[in-house]
Amino acid sequence: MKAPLSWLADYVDLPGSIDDLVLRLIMSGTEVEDVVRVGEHWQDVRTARIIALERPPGSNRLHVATIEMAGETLCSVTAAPNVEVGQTVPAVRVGGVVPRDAKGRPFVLQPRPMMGITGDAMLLSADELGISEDHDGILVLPPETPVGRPLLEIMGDTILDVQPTANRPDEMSMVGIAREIAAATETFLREPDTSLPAGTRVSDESSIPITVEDSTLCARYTGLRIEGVRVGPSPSWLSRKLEAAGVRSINNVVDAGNFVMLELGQPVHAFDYHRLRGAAVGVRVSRAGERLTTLDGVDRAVPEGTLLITDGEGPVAIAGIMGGAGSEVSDDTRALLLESANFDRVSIRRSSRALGLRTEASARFERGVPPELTELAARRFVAILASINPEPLTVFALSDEVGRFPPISSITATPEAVGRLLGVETPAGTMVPTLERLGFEVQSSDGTLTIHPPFWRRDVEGVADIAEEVARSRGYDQIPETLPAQDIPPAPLPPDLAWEDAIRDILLGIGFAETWTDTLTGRDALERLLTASPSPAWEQMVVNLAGLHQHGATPEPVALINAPTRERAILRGTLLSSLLDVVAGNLKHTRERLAFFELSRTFFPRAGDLPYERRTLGIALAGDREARAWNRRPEPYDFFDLKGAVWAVVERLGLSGMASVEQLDRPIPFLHPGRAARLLINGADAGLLGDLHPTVAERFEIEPPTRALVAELDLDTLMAAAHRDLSIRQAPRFPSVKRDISVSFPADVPAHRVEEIVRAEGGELLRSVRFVDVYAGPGVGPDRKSLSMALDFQSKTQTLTQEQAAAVQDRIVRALQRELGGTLRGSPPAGSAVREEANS
Amino acid sequence: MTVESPLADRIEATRTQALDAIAQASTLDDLEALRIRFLGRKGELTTALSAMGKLPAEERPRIGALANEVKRDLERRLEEREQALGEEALRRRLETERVDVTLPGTDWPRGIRHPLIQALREVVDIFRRMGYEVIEGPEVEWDEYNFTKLNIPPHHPARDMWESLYLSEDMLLRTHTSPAQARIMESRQPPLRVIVPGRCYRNEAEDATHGIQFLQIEGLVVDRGITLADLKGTLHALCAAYFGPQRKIRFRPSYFPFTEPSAEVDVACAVCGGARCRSCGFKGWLELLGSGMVHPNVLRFAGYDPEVYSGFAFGMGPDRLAIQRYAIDDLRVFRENDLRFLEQFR
Ligand SMILES: [Zn+2]
Repeated sequence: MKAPLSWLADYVDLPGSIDDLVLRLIMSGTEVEDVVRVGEHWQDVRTARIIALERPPGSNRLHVATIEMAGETLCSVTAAPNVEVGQTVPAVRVGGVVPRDAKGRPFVLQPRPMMGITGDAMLLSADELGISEDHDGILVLPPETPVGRPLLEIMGDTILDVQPTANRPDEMSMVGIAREIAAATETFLREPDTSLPAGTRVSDESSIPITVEDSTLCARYTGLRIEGVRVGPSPSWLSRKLEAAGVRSINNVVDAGNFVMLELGQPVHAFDYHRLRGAAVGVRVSRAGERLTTLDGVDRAVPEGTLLITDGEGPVAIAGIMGGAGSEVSDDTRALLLESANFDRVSIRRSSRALGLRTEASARFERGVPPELTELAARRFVAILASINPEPLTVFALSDEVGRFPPISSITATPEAVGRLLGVETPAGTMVPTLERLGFEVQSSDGTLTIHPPFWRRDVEGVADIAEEVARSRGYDQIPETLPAQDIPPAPLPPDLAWEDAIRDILLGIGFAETWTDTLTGRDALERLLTASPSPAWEQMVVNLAGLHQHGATPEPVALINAPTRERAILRGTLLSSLLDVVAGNLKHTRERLAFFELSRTFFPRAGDLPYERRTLGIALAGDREARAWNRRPEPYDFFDLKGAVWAVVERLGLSGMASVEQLDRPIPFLHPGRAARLLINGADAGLLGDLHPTVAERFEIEPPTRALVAELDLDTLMAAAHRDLSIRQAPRFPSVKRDISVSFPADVPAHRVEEIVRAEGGELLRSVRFVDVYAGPGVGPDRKSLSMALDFQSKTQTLTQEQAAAVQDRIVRALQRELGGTLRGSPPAGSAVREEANS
Repeated sequence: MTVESPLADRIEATRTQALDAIAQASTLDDLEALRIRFLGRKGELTTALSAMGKLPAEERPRIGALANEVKRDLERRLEEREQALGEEALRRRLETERVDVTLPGTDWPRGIRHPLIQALREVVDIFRRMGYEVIEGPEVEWDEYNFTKLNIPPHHPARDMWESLYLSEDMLLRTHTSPAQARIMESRQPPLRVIVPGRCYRNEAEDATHGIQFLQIEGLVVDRGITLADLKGTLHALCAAYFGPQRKIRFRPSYFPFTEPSAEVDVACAVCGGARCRSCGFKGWLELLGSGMVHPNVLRFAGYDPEVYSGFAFGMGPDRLAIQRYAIDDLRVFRENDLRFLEQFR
């Protein structure tokens, strides 16, 4: 709400410093969004009168205006279309400062010829003055404006942009804001005057019959008939006030109504009395199929249940939102019915949304206007109109249909109770005057206060509200700072969050970057991961489908019903498309170490319940594992870098004994069929990992030779099995015997099977086995590969001899031969394949 | 010693020859070859001595003494030379191993923390040290928990404070972490001291200061005798821990439907300290978080007696904390995941 200080000053004495005023308002709970000073750089702007106009030869666009300004006659060339002889306008002489150029900066006016004529002055638009965006013509001042005066004297002002909080509808008015200023500066409010000027005729006749169908929707309807109206322009004091508050001046009747609404916060509406059919008004909800053409000229289908104002025949206004065109005040209007009514805020809010029509009136009704205001607003309207109408008015007796509305209940509070909430003593001696300044009535007996809130403060309902009034008036800076007493034992981090932190730290530790990407995405974005035809098979994208079903969920996306855009329409069921977008974005400027992970939730629908939110880890790798440098050769990330990262997470969760990475059991459309795997925990699916399918990579604009790799892990499954392994072993006391063997196998034998057999045969004496080379080619035979393994034998009870180790090795080789068709390749030369180290 | 004897001459000649060769040897291998040549079992000195048997008996001790003396001399010379050569070889090796120490060090991979998540973790840690329990809630919520149980009934004008994204009539993406307040109070009895970190969503146009998705940390304390002063003290402690004790903050009255009294906390601009400058849009203070005393209605909805219990709640965005700490002016940098920006948070 725009509150010009020039207007507020009608009701309250303002402090000298604007900064001080604004600070006091902010610190007592009135949010001042902005402070606009009208009149910046106006030092050289004066009022001038146009005394003659002519067109320069050869132009039908420009005018040469002769103007009178402080006794001098000057000339100005202007392109403004709205100039007329006799107008009073703002002007700046050559050499003076024009407040705003097209970029909003002040500049010094230079003599500049237009069509061969050089003027002495420039006429200014509202835009050049910084008042509004209107730059179509010069600003025309009211005719009675004195000529040759500094404009600053006439129009300079400061406008506060006040954003009342939702609980303070009273601050949607000048009086309401002035009341806060009065309380904050400990001064008094001057109430608006409702007395009628001499000569106004008062009739005993009732204004109009009123029928309210449901008083819960219209708590009060006050109607006032006024005759003798002459519609015409408003005087400058009124139009200037409205314009300063951001409301366009229309005519004296409309302006008086807007003035009252801005002043008191009560919306009013003036009907042309003679255009109301049947000389009666009613308030009812609309029936199906009703229509009304509103003041803005739009023919509207009125949704059923909308609160309407009717005359004897049908709808004449949408209650509390906008009047109808049929009963609109026009230049010929001679009699008015002024409506000052109170409508239910929920009803107005619903209708305003249903119609897509929000007005100054509806905004106030939605927040709640006190029913006590209607009569005051009607009386103030007629007082204003009577003072500006060219003829004496005839005012009829007020028709006031008052329904039932809840009374304002008084609050019983003790200073102790308020003090207990605030944590500071609040003696009655300071509480009572504070509340009284805000309009509360307080009765005190035996240390208990009975507090009656004023009618405009229906938001104050209990002791907590009283505590806020007291605290904000004293200033929150007067509240001490303490800490709650420590009588709650500290709680450990919930296991899932602790594991999340552990995963985050292990991945950060090995050089990954954590990302923060959008939960909301679009179908198109996700479908890039899928083969498009025939229709997206969402289950192909999902990790651990069985786990999803166990949670009662299905794999299709969760969709919004009011999506802001197509790209933000569903909740993602995978992190991978977001991560790949991050990869693609960064690939535009680097190929080094694109290693990302994100820990967040993926969403899957559940019938009749909130969606299943799965804790998910997404990983993406692309480009080179090493930054290019003089001592490092760039090598691209490969599947085993990805698997190693996944395994680091598995180990950190204490799961390496239960986990395995195996061939896919079903095709995953976004993964390379030969370089993809699933992660199993105790035989159950927990993740997918692999090279991104080249076709899919292209859809993400990841072009060859760059390859991307992705993994997605179902952390709910991983964390359910996770545990901290506390069984720590001593370092071995006896030396180990290390032996390397190379064994060739049919090419399709998985290394995992080889390792299983080696471990089974090696038994207790085999401390570790590590693959140190994989070779296929000459010397191994077609369709075969050779695996070289470093075996480490060790006993817990004695120093192992070469012979003992060799015996175990022979057993291993025989088993590999028997089970997997393995062949020991040659015999390792003595002294090269057998090394001895102590305590390694 | 003068020995008039052909054998003695030969020994002396061998000595001269050997000393010459030793002095000229340039490698340890050369020296070893000389040791074998002169002192080895078939070496020249040994060979010379083998002729001693033919000498008259009275000459033998003299020649023997001479031979021993020459042998010791050669051994000593060999050793000296060996040491010198060893030192020389090491010196040369070290010389060849010289590197240009001004070349850059190896760029070890280091993790890159996301500044928002980092801010969230720091705040969570600060509150855990103050004895707060961490809980989580669902990101998709029932309207009832997101609004109604927080004293915001349907069609309440305060609903305009949160533009919501709905999944159905009664289900939405939570607009704040506050629903977890209602959930925890329903399932537990006071005393409560919890924080709730998590993602929240609002249907806002995305610009420098707003995003559809953001992180929030909710705090809730309910017990007997909790006061507004406790809230102030707690949030002062947070800001002192996060920004350092010099950064000024201020409390001012505000409005939230689920708290009464309510307070907004502003932090002084990182650049001007509240004196107003261009970087803070001449405001001097920037909104940091909303807070207040838990509204008696919210306590009642949970079955707590407001006459017995009171509490405070606050909700803050790690994004605001982070931009205030790092003086960043555009929230969008957090969503871009551009390594050129993130790298600074290694
Ligand atoms: Zn600043």
